[in-house]
Amino acid sequence: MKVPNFPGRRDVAADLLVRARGSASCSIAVVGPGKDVGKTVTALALVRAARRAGYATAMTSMGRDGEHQDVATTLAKPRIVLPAGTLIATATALLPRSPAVEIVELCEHLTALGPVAIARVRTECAVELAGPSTGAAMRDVIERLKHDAQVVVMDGAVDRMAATAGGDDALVVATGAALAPTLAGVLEQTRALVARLTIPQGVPAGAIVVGGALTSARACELLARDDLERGVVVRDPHSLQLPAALLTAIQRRGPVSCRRPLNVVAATVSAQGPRHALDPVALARAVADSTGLPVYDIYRNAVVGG
Amino acid sequence: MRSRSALTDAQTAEALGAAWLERVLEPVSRAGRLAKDGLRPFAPGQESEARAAAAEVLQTAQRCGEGQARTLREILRRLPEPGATLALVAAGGTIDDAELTGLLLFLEGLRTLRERGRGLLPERLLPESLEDLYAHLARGRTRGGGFYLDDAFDPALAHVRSAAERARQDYACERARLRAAAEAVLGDAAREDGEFAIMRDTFAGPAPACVHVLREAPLYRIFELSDDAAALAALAVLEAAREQVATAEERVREALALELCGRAGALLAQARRAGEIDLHLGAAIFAQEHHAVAAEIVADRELTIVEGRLLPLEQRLAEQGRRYVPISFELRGQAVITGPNMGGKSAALRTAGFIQLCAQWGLPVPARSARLGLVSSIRWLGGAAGDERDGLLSSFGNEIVALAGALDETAPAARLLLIDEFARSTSPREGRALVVALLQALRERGELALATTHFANVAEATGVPHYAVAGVRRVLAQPGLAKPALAEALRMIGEAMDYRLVPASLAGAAGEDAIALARLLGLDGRLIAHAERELRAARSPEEERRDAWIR
Repeated sequence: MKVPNFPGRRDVAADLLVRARGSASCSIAVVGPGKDVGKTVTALALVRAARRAGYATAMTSMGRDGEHQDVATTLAKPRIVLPAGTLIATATALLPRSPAVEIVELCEHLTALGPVAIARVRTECAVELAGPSTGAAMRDVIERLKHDAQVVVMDGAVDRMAATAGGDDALVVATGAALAPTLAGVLEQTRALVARLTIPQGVPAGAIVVGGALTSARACELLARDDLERGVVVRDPHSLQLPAALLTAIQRRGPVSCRRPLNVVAATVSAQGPRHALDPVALARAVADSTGLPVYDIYRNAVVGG
Repeated sequence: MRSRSALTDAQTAEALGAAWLERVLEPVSRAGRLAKDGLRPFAPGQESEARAAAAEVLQTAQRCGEGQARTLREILRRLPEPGATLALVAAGGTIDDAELTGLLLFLEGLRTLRERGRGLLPERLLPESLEDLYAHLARGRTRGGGFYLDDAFDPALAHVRSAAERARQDYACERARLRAAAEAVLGDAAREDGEFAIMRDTFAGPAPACVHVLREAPLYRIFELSDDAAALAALAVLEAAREQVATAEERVREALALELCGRAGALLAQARRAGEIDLHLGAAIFAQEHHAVAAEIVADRELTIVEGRLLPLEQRLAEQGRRYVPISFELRGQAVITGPNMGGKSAALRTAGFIQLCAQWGLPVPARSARLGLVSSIRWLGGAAGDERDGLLSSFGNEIVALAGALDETAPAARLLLIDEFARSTSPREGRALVVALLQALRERGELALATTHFANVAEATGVPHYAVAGVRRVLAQPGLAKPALAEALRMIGEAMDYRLVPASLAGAAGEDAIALARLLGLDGRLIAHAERELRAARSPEEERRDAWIR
């Protein structure tokens, strides 16, 4: 029996994939400011869309994904069932025992669960993913995956996505009701994250160049200066390790830019949080309006903006 | 290892640059690191073994063209270490595919080493490639260079996998059918995998049979496809097929584990050999890069070096663009080295110790030639001794405690003592007396000892051979020259100083060099001139001869 493929059906994950690849990136990082905002659902939808489009595809995680429950919250997590042919990078201890996967390479990078292996799924199966725990190692693994895959999808929290600095990855920001009890709260956090990730590239003449992380303490030092109007330059958006209010305070006094910008292409929303739900249509519209990004709702198969 | 052995204590190891040597020789593989832990220096009585070890290293260094030793080492660097996996199978544990991959890579590495190492490595070190075991595991080799528990391991695998794939497709068709049904009612948000959201203003009726509601929200509902009887039947077939695949795959792994268990001894022996190769290649690269030679190792108590080099110092000077001067001397029993400050007396001691250290570990030595006997320990005494009494002892007190300990040690005859300006921190009269007494005591005990000192006529008083640093060859600084910066002064001293050791019978007074150094380091010109007049007035015929010898 042949499995039907629904050729005329609208698929927003495929649209999102086209948008991300349109930015000339073959790696896509799905980042979110918290748990349960739909990162894994978005990443998995991208992987499946890429496989349906015939791309050699790879997936990895900056944290740990695919287990039944979150070890911290005990909330159920989405299973990661990958189609045959998909490459994964995960700790060897998490490789499925059956059906057997093809081990492509044993890497030197370590995780808390042992060394990382790159493997190819031979038969559709559920997997658990735990990629390298440092930014540099993750960057190395991503580059390695790019040798064999046309699309590499990374699933990870924003505070672990330092690996995206210096790369040409497309970033998809996942947000949702789990962030805050109100729509306004979700919007505030999402807007702050997008503002941080999208600071422009450039080194204005006379700007104050900050080496390393721009922390709260260094922000206070900067705010005490009287020459902030010339601007502040950091290495990349991940260098901004300060509360949104302090960043905004600096930006009111002068432009903040970076040497290596990130490539944020879209946002996705999840209207259902573990304790409450928001209006998905209103959430998507508001996120699109406040960030200027096209917003995809994988659960509703809908898109706003863009 | 070389910095932590019975051969040298911590102070001696630091003085001789043992950590530098260890770093240079650091193995690149895990097998090499394990082999290094088992290394021991050669001891008196093992002269022929030490000679053979160094000769073997040199032979490999000569056979390996530029880069060949490094290429072989790169194979070793990537070589997995099979010990943990073999311990697991020996204990009856289950093996996984990552471990099988590691073993396959290990066997492939051995084959490559054997192939590329032939004609370069000593025959005794060439690894056995365990072809039968390799051929067995290589059935899982994929075109991309990976490993898969392939159908080739067991024809039953192909059968159950085909059945499972058919069952998967059947179930996927059932899910697609359910989705089509859901889509007809709920719209295109419906999907086979995972949950989907439908707004109530789009569909508010009762949920169709093909889905179930996961969650209700005021404005929408979250659905998931619900398997009907046909889908559940397909799922049951799929689960049963998957179980058969799992059983067949485990059977293959168990058979492989059993075979590996039977060959564990041979595999571990090859892992140990790989470690030895790593250490051997490290030594060969050392010999190539530093133009080391085989020392003539004798049963006598002596240390004769021709143009020996202290490699850590040579490297540091090279990094600063400064020259290094090799030294030569002959030590049979005891000898004294004198010379000006900054003339290289301590460096001469370190050179002696460094070369002895290399030979003790079976390495070629950095010299034009060397002849030496093996010792059971090398001890550095004097100089900047560490205070082991939490500041309760002075520098002199520390020196005395360290010396007393060294003299109390058993089997003193088979060791090399390197004594750096002993008793320099006490009064010159008493200090000289102590040094003279020490050298006489060492002479009576028949110890092999090299000592530096500023005290006058120590060698004459004890009757031991006397070497002196040749000293300053030309005028270091003209009167009136502006005082140079320290780095520049050091460069000028390095350019002007003759660091060679010469027999003291041909050497002059050290004071001449001290005055020249003082001038360079900015001492008042009139004071310098006065000192030189004083010195010239006291010049002897022997001093004139020494200058002629140096020229």
